[in-house]
Parts: sequence; C-alpha cells; structure tokens
Amino acid sequence: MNPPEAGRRHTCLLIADFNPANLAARMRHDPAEPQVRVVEAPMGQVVPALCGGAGSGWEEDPDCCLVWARPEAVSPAFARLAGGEPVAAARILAEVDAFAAGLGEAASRVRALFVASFAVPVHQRGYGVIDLSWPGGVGRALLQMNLRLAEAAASSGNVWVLDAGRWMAAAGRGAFSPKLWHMARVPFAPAVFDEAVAEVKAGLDALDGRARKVVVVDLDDTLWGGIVGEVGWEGLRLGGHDRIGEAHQEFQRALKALARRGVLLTVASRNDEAVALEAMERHPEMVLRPADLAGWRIGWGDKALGIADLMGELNVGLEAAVFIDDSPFERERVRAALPQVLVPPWPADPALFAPALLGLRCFDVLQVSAEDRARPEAYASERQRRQLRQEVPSLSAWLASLGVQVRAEPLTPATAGRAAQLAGRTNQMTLGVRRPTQMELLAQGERPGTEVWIYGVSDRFGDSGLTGLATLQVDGGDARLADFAISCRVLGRGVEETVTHHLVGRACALGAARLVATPAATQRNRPCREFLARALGAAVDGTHAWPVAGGFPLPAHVELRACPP
Amino acid sequence: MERTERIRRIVYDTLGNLNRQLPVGQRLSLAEDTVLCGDGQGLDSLGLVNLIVGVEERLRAELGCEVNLGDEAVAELADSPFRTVASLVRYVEERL
Repeated sequence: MNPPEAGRRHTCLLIADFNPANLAARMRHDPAEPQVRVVEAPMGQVVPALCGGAGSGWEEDPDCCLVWARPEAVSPAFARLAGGEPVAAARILAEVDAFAAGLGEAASRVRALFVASFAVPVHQRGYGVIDLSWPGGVGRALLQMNLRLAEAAASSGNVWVLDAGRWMAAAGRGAFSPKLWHMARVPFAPAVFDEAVAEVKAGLDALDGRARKVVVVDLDDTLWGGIVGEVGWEGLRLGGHDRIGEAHQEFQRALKALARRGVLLTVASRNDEAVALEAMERHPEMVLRPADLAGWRIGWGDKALGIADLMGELNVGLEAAVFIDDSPFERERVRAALPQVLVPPWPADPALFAPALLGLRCFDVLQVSAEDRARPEAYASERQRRQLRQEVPSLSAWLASLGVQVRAEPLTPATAGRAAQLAGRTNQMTLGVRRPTQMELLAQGERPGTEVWIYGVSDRFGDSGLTGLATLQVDGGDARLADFAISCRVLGRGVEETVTHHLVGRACALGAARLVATPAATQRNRPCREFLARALGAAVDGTHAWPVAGGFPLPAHVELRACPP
Repeated sequence: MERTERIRRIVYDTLGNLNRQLPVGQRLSLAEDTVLCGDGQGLDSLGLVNLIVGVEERLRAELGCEVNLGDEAVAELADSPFRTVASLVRYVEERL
C-alpha cells in the first residue's frame, strides 16, 4: 500500500454485493486524474473479501478500497423488515456493527477505505407516509443504519462513508434500473456510477494532498451584481428584494461557508482598488468584508499575472487555486496562462452561482481540524505581518518584533488527525516521500527508536496552531527523518530552522551521530530540498546529513518550548 | 426532428455513454454501419444488455414508447436487430 506520487495511479479494490463490472469499467476509463487501476472482488462475496479471503483481490496490493453493498445484503434483518416482517431495530444494528467490523479489518490493509452509504430505490416507499416516523419503518431503519455506519467510520481513522443517496438523487428517477438488475445484477444506472467515481476520486485527491485551498474570485457581476466603478457601491445589486441581488448574496454566503472549512478567499478584479474595497467595507448587505480575504489583486493589470503573484504572496502553489469569474474571456485567459489553476465552467445566471460553487468536489478533504477553521484568520494575521515587514527596515528587526514561539510535542491520539492532515496536505516544505495516515503515524510512534513530533507556532499576531510534523527513526548511527512537513503558512520566520534545531537535539539524545534526510524530488517540494541543502549541507547520493554532536543553531528570535518525549 | 432521426439520436447517445466504459481503442463509432454485436465484433454480453436497457429507458422517457428489446426472441431473430446501428433503428421504428 505505497502511496502513489509520480503519475498518481491508485489501485482500488472494488467489493460489492452486485455485479460491479459497469462501475469498474467507468472508474477504469474515466479520464480525470487520478488514474485508477481497478481490481474487482468476486461479485456478492462481501464478507469473505472484507476478511481478506484468498482470491478477493488483495493480492494485487490495492492502496484503497470501495465497498458498496445494498442494505438487504448487509442485514438479513433489514431484508425481512423491507418484506413486511416486524424486526427489532437492535437486530438490524447488530448486523451493521458486524459489517463495520469487517470494514475495519479491510481498512487495516489500505490507506483509505470508502464505503457507500445504504440506499434503497426511490420506489421503495416502505410504509409510505408513516415510514420515517413509525418505529418499524423501512426508511427509518435505513437512517439508523447509516448513522451507525458513519459513527463506526468516524472512529476508524481511514474509513469514510460516501453518500450514495446523493448519487441517486443526482441521477434522478432512473437511478435504480430494475431491468438492468434482473438482466445483469447491476442495480444502478451509469449516471449513479459516474457520481460514485467522481466522489471516490475526490477522496483520492484529498488523500494525495491535492485538495484545492484557495478561491480567487472576481468582483463585478460575480461577487455582486453591477460594475462598482460605474454605479458606486450604493448602486450594486446585492441582497435586498431583488432576485439578482439575493443570488449574489447567497453566493457570498457559500464562499464564507467554504472559508469556515479552511479554504482561503482571495480576489482578482479589474477595478480601482480603493473603490472596490470601499464597497466591501460599506455596503450594508455585503457578506464578505476585506477582513475575510487572505489577499487580493485589484487593479488594471493581467489577472493571470495577478493570480500568480497572489499565490506567491500566500506561499501556496498554483495547483491549490480555483478561479471564478463571470467573464468567459477572463476564464479562458487564466486557463491558458495558468493551466495548474482550476477554472471551472461557470453559469451565466447568478442564481446558479452558489450551487455551482457548492457542487465543486475539489475542496474535499478527509478531515477538518481546528487549524483549518482558523486558517482564514491566520492569513489575515499574515497580512498584518507583511505590512509590518514593510514598515520595519531590516529582516532581523522584523523577525525580532514577531515574538515567535514554537512548541514541540510528542504525537498523541489527540493530535494524530492533524498530523496526518499535515502529511497529506503539505506540498512544499515536505520530503515528498510518503503521506502516512493517522493510524500509520500512531503505530510508528510506538516503535522503539522512533519519535513522532508535532509542532505548534504562535507569535504576537496569533496562534497558527499545529503546523509542523517530523518523524525521527534511529538506524545505527543515523537518525533518519522519515517525515518532515511544515505548513507554508509559517515558513520564513525561523520555524523550519527551529524544528531542525529540536530534531538535532533529539537525534543526539537518541544516540545517533548524524541527522539524515533523503527527500524525493517532487514537482512542488523544491523549497524543502533547498532548505535541507542550506541547513544540513549539500546532498550526497540524494541524502543530506548533519553531525549532531555540535547541535544546530536555534534562531535568536525564536523561543522553543519542547515537551519531554 | 423526424422520428427516425430521434431514434438514431437515442441509440448514438446510449452508445456514447457506453463508450465511456471502454478503452479508447475499442470505442464504437457513432455511425449507421457500426457493428453492435456479432462475428466477434462490437459489444460483449454486458455491453449489449447495457445498450438494450439504455435505449429502452430513453425511448420511454423521450418518446413515451415501450419497446421490449430484451426479449430472448428478439436476440434469436434470424436478422438480428443488434447487427448494426441501422438495423436497430429500423427495428425500433417498425415497433412504434
């Protein structure tokens, strides 16, 4: 179960209680990244396959797994309930628990296991109008089964329940195909499988650290209706008793909801900056204010150049950005000039803006941490730091004025989720060798001679939260850096040097003679490779090494608070 | 749009959808003389079932017509309607 990096090709084991051939074929030949090699477990052999039975496909070494079973296949008690027999809910839930236990066993063999939620065809109305409120209802039992499954998945670390009900809804009334079922044991129409494939790929993107992190949005006729430079902020269509104004306001609310999940909001607009910012400050029905933005490029220059410049300022790669603009010309310009930036097709009708944004899967992550939720505020603090840097003449004076503190803590179950997120989502200051899961990090922390550290960073502008991860493995005289990932949010203020100082100290305490690191050369981790060369010395056969006996200098402006291991 | 053309469009759309399940080199061209099934060419058995169900469902949804293409008797006809796109379109039209 080695994670794919170069070429990003995953191997997915498909376990289903129905004929999975259509789903497998659509996943296999879907042109969207990442590419997936699909291995099909024998049809209907869900339990043996989950338990790792011979011939189930595990011999192909899949790194992920999709399990899709109909509720009546998982729970015979549910099948009886659907057939009109009285069945106790506890009986059904016990069978769901047994299924969840099988999922947990299968999950130990892969990096990610996705399981489709239980769903029934739209024509399965159970007891009709009383089906949800009556304790013996079929739909009610289904809700309970899905909640039980979701709760089991939440405690697993690498099992995620995907909402098959939403796939059915997207496919419409023809989602379940009775004729295809009776002729070929394929229950669902192709449109359902297309939704499933897109969802699984969104999960794999998240697993690979490819979730988009930044929205770059236009202002005129996108964030609001009208041209602010022509009508003034008082004349904009935003909110009010106006269908266009309400639609733009709803779009802003959708953007704000994304920001609360940790996505950064930025603006690229052809406008007079003072006029545009005044509109954002003063319009009474504006949802997004300048303080909600991580940055902006408002002026009369090329938007593509502005976006590239803005991403540089935020220290994130272009691959993290999504550009939204009502103008097809601007979209095409950015698409051509910055192919790494995702430029989704955009509807002309403002009423469809919010649904178009909320329908994007590119922001999907596998967990949302407190650090994610605080990210927009952290970037607002960063803007203040940059402003201070412009006011303070020298770099050292600026750094000294920040009051940077770094906390080093051994990994615990409470911080393992955030650590896995750092490993999964950091693309620049990372070795780029692997992306361990929460379970893998906790397991390796238990091994003799191995220490897993997580680092928190704060300064006088605020707490950036847990933003660094490192794993040290002692092997003979070398302490090898197995993981090294620091969020780009805290780079450039001595944090990476402080972490290195701490790791050199730990390596010395563990009896090693050298701290060594062997980064992979990925497309985006050049900052890490350059830092290691600068800090530890040039690589020999791809490995950087530092003799630990003399220590490693702690930046004078940083206070390090290290917990005992 | 005349009825023949609408049926042809339904068959092409269904084939286009099915092509998404095939490797690029094995995709069926959307043409009258494309062989759907027979002589080792065209669709495999599941592909044929997908085509039958897809065309039936779209005929029902778009033209409001019930045509049973999945009947074993249809497959056993000497002049199989699933020989080519043209023969399938002709067969459907004769039964509307």
